[in-house]
Amino acid sequence: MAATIRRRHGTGFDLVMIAPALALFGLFIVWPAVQALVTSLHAEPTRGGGFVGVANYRDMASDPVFWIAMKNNVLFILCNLVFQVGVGTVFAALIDQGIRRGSTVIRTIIFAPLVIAPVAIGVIWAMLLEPNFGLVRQTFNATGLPFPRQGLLGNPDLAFASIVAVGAWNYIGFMMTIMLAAMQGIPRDLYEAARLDGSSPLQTFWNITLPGVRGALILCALIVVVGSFKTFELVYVLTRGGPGNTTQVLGTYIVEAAFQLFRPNYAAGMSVVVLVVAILFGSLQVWSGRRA
Amino acid sequence: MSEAAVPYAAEAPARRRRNPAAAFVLRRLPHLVLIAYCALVLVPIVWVMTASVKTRREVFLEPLGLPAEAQWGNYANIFESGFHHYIWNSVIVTVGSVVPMVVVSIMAAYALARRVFIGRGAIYVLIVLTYAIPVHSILVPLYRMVDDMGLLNTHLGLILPHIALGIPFSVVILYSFFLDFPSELEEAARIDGCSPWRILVAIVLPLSAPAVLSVVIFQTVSVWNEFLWASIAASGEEARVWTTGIMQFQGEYSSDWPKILAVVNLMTLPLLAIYIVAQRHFVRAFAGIGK
Repeated sequence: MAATIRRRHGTGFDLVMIAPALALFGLFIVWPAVQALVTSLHAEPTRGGGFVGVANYRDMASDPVFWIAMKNNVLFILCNLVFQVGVGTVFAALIDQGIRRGSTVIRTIIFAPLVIAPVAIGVIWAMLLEPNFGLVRQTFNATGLPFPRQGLLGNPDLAFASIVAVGAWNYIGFMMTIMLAAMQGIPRDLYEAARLDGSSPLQTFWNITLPGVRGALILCALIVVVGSFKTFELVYVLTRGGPGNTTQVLGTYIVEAAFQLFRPNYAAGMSVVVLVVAILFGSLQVWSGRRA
Repeated sequence: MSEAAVPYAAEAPARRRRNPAAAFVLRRLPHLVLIAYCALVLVPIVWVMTASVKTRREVFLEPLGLPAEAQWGNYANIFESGFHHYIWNSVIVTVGSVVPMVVVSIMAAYALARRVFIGRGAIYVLIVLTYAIPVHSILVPLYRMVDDMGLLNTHLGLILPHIALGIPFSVVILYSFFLDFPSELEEAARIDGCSPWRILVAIVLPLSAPAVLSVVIFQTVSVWNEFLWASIAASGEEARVWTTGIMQFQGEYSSDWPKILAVVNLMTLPLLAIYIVAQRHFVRAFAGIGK
């Protein structure tokens, strides 16, 4: 059949169909990606721009800020898996199994932060977390809890955790919604059987709910891993990577290196690292798609 | 909310032996946890709404109260400061990006899913492999290229990269939809002498509305909210969009929270309203990612 189609219409139709997407994709993604690799092997324009081999990558290996950013990106992925996928799954199970009234309203509210722009979320939470007048400070004071003098975002030990918390606020509802849809697909008689066997709610969650939503869990994990690795706006708006580079991630450090430290080729080198990891995630996607 | 309170089945046996008060709290625990979290979500949103019509004094002294008198002037300031130009730029960039992005993605995804041609598999794998790449991984070369084309601080300088960066995602989602699409319809049309164009436009597309709508919603929200590329490629006044405008605004009026929050609110509320009305579509659009 396929052969007939090709014979009748030639490849002109196919070419016209695929060409625009491929041209834009090639020009604005593939070509810059190749350029990133090429320029990363050259000295900075301000230093002649000659070929220097892997010198930029050697600099990177001995740049403590690069490693902080790398470590933070990995930590972001882990924390977000726990707080976004983990809490989202628990909330979904609570709604699926424990709630009859008001579940629509609760779902609508918890999902809502997802449609707010990350920049707006950053601006809002920067104010709520402001060290002197912010609502969080006032709440701490009202309850008598000690509040760090530089505020949560100004404290090197707490800034990262604060960003993770704001990220969770942003995405828990998203994860919850995907998990809930999957849970509602589990046949109800399985729960009935578990009840008759005298299984506790926790046992039921562990033995029936979780195995029943494996596919959705993998999907959520993929979304969170890719999303966390792309993190930029929240960090940029809340801390600019500070205090003292403690919340720097690859995204913010690449921008800083390219446009504030004026080391574009060094930044290009770091972006090649990001590219390689992102393509690894992409192949994970191909692999998980093949399995499904 | 008026559904009958059906007694929940799975919890009864395990708790039979506990005392009634503890049992009551345990039975209500899911509700309590979820309602507490809903409050955590709502407080900042309500805070933004009320603070945007307060005086600076009220924002700091009575963060949770209502304003003595609504300060609508905070909103008027949006226009006095020219912020509506940035909103207009966002509209142009979003429409200008999403429409062509979706059109070329539909064409490519359909060809990849249905047609047989040399290199089809390789092209699809290349597109999927790049679906996770963030704009900062090609930032410097992309900036140089757009600069060389003379497109810095223009709408087109934002639109072209947005289209390209949106293609992998859109193609992946539409491709999987077209694969599941029953090919008998197209076969029948082909035997009746329909050209492949007519098959796509008259038969496949009308039946693909849910998938296309998902992609449109997802990409509209993404482009509308995009910040990083806009802050690099349109840092000047001419093509500045609302996300970068808000950061500019925040710098200028750093201590005048009500003015900043008026902008935040104006930019957030419409999207929230659309989401509440079209919730089902939003959820599907976002949950369709990666499928």
